Amino acid sequence: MNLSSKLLQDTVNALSSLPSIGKKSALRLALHLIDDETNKAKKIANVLGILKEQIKYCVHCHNISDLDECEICINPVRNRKVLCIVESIRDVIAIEETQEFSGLYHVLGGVISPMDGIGPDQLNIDQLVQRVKEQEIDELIMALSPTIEGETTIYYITKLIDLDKLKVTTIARGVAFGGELEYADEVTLGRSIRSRLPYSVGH
Amino acid sequence: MHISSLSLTNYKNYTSQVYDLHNKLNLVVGLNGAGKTNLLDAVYYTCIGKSYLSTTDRYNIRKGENFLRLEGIFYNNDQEKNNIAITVEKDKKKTIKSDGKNYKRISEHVGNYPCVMISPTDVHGLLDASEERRKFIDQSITQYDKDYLRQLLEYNKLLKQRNALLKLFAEQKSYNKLLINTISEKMERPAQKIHEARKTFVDRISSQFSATYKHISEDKEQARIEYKSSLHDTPFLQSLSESNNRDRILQRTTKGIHKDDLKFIMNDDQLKVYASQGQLKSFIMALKLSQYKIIQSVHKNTPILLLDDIFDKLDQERVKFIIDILLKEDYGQIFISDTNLYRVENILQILETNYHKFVIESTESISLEKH
Repeated sequence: MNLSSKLLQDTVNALSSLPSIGKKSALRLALHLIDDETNKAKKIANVLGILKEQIKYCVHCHNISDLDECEICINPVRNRKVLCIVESIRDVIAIEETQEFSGLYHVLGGVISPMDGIGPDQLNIDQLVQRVKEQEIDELIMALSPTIEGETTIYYITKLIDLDKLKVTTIARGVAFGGELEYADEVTLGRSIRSRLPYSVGH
Repeated sequence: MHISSLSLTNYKNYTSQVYDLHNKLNLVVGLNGAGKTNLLDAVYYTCIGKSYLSTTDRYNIRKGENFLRLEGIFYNNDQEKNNIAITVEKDKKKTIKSDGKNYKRISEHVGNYPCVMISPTDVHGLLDASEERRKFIDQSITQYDKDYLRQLLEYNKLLKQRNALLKLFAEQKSYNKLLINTISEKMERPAQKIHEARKTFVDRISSQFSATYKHISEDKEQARIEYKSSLHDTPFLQSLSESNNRDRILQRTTKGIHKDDLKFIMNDDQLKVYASQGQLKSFIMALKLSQYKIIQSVHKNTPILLLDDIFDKLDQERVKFIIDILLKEDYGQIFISDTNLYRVENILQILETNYHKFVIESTESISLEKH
């Protein structure tokens, strides 16, 4: 994209460096900010600056937080004996949206993949092992992607913790709710047959 | 099963051509470089979803063009019609359509329409490179066992991770025994499944092979094949842990099913040392025909057989003998290419059989004679 203004060009380049924003969307945003008379650009720049400066990671679960401990970890109503292990903060947000989980989280920051240079040291695995040792935890729910790397990470973690002390579960993998069987791929369908569930009324 | 019509657009040296094919025998003749091999490869491509000869899809696009398209009309053994259309665009993902609908994954197409190609490159490939011999096994099994491909992909992905980890250890001068063991243990299940499938396949093909070799070579020599794998005597995890130190020094995984091999034997000797040029050729031909028979025996569809320029340097009697076998025995649709315009045809006329003959002068000028 060749623009007549260098100022505009720089803005477009900066905005389009963000995920899921292309050059065209970036240009639209930039032009919008130029036309705007309510000082949006300043306000946005301001909040972004503060966000980057002040945002913290929760010391317990590594979720994003304004304070040293996040809202979820200090909430007295939540069940402290169940930990849900996820890859990223986005997964925490997605699971919170379901309103089905009342325990605490642990954000790993990714999955083990030496091909991408990610080993256990790059992830919050030691912290998880420490947490399991120090706190009274009954169950770890592994909510990682159902990929080879996700499976390897789960297996690695189970080797580091005392399985006699607590239960490890994984989220169910199977046919999507509201989906039709014939459209499910063979691997998923095969897996849901193997790990089928007893039928119970009301679910 | 057979293809009744094939259309090629921008495939290698083809611009746009439609072929009306014979359901039993198709003869493709023309000079070197006219496009015979490319036509046979196009049949293979439509059946399997990729080229037999070049592994990179975009190299099959005609020079100066942006896409290629192959469309074949298949009839399976129940005479059900199916239109398969493959499109490869530069810098885009390949798409395969079945009766106008896209497959979700390319792998869904693999194995539906079995096909075996015998090409002059096979002799060197199979004799010289263990990688080619593994590819031969894998190509055969994936045509009838869908789960095999999945296990293979899983194993290869984990193998890549394991090798990357070994490199990482060396770079960072660190070691994490637990992590490397975790990956090894994850590889065990796919490794065992692949080993089982390969063993079953080689068991089947080796008895078929000895008979086929004897038949087509009229040879007194004893020819056989053997499956070599470290998993025969040592459990997978044990052999991995035994080669641990070696792996760390070499920064790659030195044991496992990715090191499996096929051993070619003639009269209890290694084939390459012992055999003449003619015997080598017969050996590979018998191997590929056995591959055909094995796939045929387990698949619901009869495979297509592609014979690319295999009669080169054979005398008339041998050619007649081989064609006789191909026509008498239960082979399905066959494509034969030859640089000699009349050699095969003369034999076919003696044998009184129907066929389509395509004379390729260039990809622009192809004539069809129906006999």
